[in-house]
Amino acid sequence: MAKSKKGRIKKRTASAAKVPVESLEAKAFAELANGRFRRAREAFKQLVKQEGDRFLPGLIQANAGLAAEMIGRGKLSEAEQVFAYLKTIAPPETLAVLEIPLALAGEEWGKVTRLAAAALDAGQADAAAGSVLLSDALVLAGNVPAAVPGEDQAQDWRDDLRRILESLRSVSEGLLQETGELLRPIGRLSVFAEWKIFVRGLVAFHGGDQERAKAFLEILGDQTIPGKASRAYLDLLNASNWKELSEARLQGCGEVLGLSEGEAEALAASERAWRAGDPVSAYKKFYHSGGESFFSGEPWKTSVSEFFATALEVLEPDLKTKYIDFMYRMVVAAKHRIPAEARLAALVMTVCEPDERVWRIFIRAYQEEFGKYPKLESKVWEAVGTEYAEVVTEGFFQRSHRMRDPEGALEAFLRAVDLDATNLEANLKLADLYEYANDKSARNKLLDRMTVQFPHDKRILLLAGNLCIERKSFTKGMNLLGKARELDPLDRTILAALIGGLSKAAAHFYRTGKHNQARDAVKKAEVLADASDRAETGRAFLQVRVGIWEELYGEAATGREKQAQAISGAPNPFAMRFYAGALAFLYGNKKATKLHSEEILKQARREATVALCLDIWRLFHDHLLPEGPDTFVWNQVTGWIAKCIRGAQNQSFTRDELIHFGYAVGPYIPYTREVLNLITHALKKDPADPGLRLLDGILRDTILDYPHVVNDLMDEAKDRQDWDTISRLENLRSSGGRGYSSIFDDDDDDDEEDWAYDEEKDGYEDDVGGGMKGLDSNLGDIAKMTDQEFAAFRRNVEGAMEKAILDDIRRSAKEMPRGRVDPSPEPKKKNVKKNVKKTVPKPPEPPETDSAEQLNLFDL
Amino acid sequence: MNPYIVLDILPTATDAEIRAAYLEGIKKNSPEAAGEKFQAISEAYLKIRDEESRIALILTNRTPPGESPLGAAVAAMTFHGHQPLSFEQLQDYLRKCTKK
Repeated sequence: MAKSKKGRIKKRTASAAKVPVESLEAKAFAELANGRFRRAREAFKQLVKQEGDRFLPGLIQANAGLAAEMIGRGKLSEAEQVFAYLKTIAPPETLAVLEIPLALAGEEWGKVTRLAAAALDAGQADAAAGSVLLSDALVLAGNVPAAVPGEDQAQDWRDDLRRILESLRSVSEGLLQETGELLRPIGRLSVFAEWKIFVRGLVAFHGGDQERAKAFLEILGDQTIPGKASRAYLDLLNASNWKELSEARLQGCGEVLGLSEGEAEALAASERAWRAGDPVSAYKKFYHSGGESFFSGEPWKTSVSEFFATALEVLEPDLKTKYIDFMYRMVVAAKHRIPAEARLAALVMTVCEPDERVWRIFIRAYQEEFGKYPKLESKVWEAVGTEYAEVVTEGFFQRSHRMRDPEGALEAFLRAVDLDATNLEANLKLADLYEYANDKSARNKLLDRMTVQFPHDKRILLLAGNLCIERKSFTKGMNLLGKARELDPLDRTILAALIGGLSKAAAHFYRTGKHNQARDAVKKAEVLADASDRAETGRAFLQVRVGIWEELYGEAATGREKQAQAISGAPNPFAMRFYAGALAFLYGNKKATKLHSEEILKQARREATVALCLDIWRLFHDHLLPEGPDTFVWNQVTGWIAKCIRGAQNQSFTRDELIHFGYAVGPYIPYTREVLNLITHALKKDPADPGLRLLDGILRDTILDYPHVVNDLMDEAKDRQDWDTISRLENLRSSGGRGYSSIFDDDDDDDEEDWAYDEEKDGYEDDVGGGMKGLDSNLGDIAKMTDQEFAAFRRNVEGAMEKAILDDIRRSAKEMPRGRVDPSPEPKKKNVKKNVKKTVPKPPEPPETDSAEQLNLFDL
Repeated sequence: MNPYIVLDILPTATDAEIRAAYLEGIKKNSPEAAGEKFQAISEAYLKIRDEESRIALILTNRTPPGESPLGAAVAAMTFHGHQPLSFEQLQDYLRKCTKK
């Protein structure tokens, strides 16, 4: 054995002898500098053998580096072997420092403290124990070693260590101010100075002072433990850099937020995938690692789940498609693993495909996860019903309305009400649906029940109140409306309903000879009326109405005086006089009041200009007669307005007035012919006017089929710099031939209830709603209908005015130019009505009159 | 931002508990001193103040709580300030840094 050893030594010595010391030395230091410690160690060993102690520090350094490398790789036993060798060559006073990394790796904190303290006491404050400073090792060990008696300097660093450890504990407990106090005595030259800065950074971070936190944490060196620890805090503060961060750095963010290693890892992987533009992987990396426990629980998990459920909002369109496809597979092909996943995916899908199938899956998943929740299910069915009840717009001027699936809507709303009778919205929507289906009986029963069930909801009180007035149950109706007003005294719709109700009551009492009751109702209405120019609530309009009633049924002289006062005091006497004439026709004996009306008409035709005609038209179309005009009166008024428009040809008018008037009134069929006459009249003066030709072509429906006409008009409009016409033509082009609605004027009036034909606002649908549906039905079909079919169709159209318009359409159908109205399939209303009758909820108890005072006020 | 997290209550909280948390929240965060937080607390309360609102939130919430998964987590964990790690967690984290 000895021989063999000798032989080897001899061989190596001989080999070393061949290499000059200078080149071996250069090689040894180069290997050391490059971190190739094993090679450096071998080179230094040979140098030590040749030159002795001169190269011993190099050999120690190479071994220490090798030991650190082994520790870094987790090869602790090999590191221990290296350290055992180190013990044989290193001076005893350096051994402590060299052994610290091994103790740290083995988590022998007591030993770390003892070794680091010994090194510091030996004055090796600047010595690095592998990659860790002595001060860092002491803080990580977390213990303050026993004091060395009589050595003040040794006592100083012990005090600073104690303060750092206490401050770390203090900041962990949220005692931020106290932490600052603890740190104050630590000087700049202390070996723990970096730790002081780190803890001050933490104090600022947790105190919400981001700038200060950054200022402290950014100045720490990269190689110290405080510096390395700061990185994650800084990353959290710089959210804009997250895209560039490695997964390890992102994981660090999770760790300082207090997540477990697994949680931080999953979140970091998910974040990385998300930032790389792969939302599906982001989802999988998060949930497939955490499973069910990641869907809810701690707030951050709830928040991340909420994020994935709403992620469509922040995704780019192409990624959105990818994400939806993934969610679709989970929902429809049941690829989900747990109910929570199905619930989340269904919620995502309801954004893009809110159909019954998806909602059913949602309900099932929710039930499996949390149990049955009827109120929630009721809201889901309400949402399903709302989808089915959506009114799609189509046809000429986009004015034809058709409900998507009335039967589906009815089934869904009934189910919603069945699951939760207190679901107010579902009840209201059900009432609307009955209204749409023209099933007044079911609607009335439902509203009666709702007034009992929801006595403090103004919408229901308003609906039910109006319904009672319609049924001539004035006292009950006014009571309900009075209660609604008590709930919201500023609501103008309720005010209008109250004045309208009192007006209807007054008219009824005047007609039936109950003059005292009628005047009592008028007095009450006068108290409520205001100075506005709105027909529903304006005092002047009320005065005209009362004047007509008095003239026809009470004291004629007083009535005429009231009318004269109201007309002369009105901002637009011409229109107000027209209103009075219409009312006379509405309330009076038609023959008896004919003369009165004819007088009005004669005067109106003499005075009418295009601008005044627009005023009249607005008055009658913006503000319906409060009692709801019957067909006969409405036909009469429509005829009067048409005659006035004809009369306006004899008065002077400007081109702009005509354009404005034409776009507002022209599309309205009873007046189209008269407006076209006005345009023809104007075109005689300037036959090439592109604006008038465009309007003419639109009203005759001869534009959309001929794109070259549009191009020609555009060229001519540009030549004339006719910006209004250019703008309308551009809108017409951009509408892609879908219709003319895009080029009609927006009304300047901000009135929400304005539903002029030239308006494309939502208010139109809200206000007119089902009332106008069916009016734009195929003109040809209407012409072809038998009288019986037309009567059935007409019954399904709401509102007397609309019925009157329908009559006009019927009359004009065969005469009008082609393509006037687009086809519009009618919903299956009969079936709905039939089903409704079968499924109406039980009749309610009569509503309670909870206010005797209220009853007296409106007791008519 | 999830209203339960903003008000620091459980999803099972009753109307009264939600209102109490809201009142406490706006008391601590006046509009003058913490305008954004005050607004967030008020909005959160409106979203869950009664059962109907809470159901609507479940069914119709379309607002992501952050721009990314980490953003959502951070938003939830930092609305009430960055909560410090416990001493043990902090010590573990610092010790892990020796390997970084």
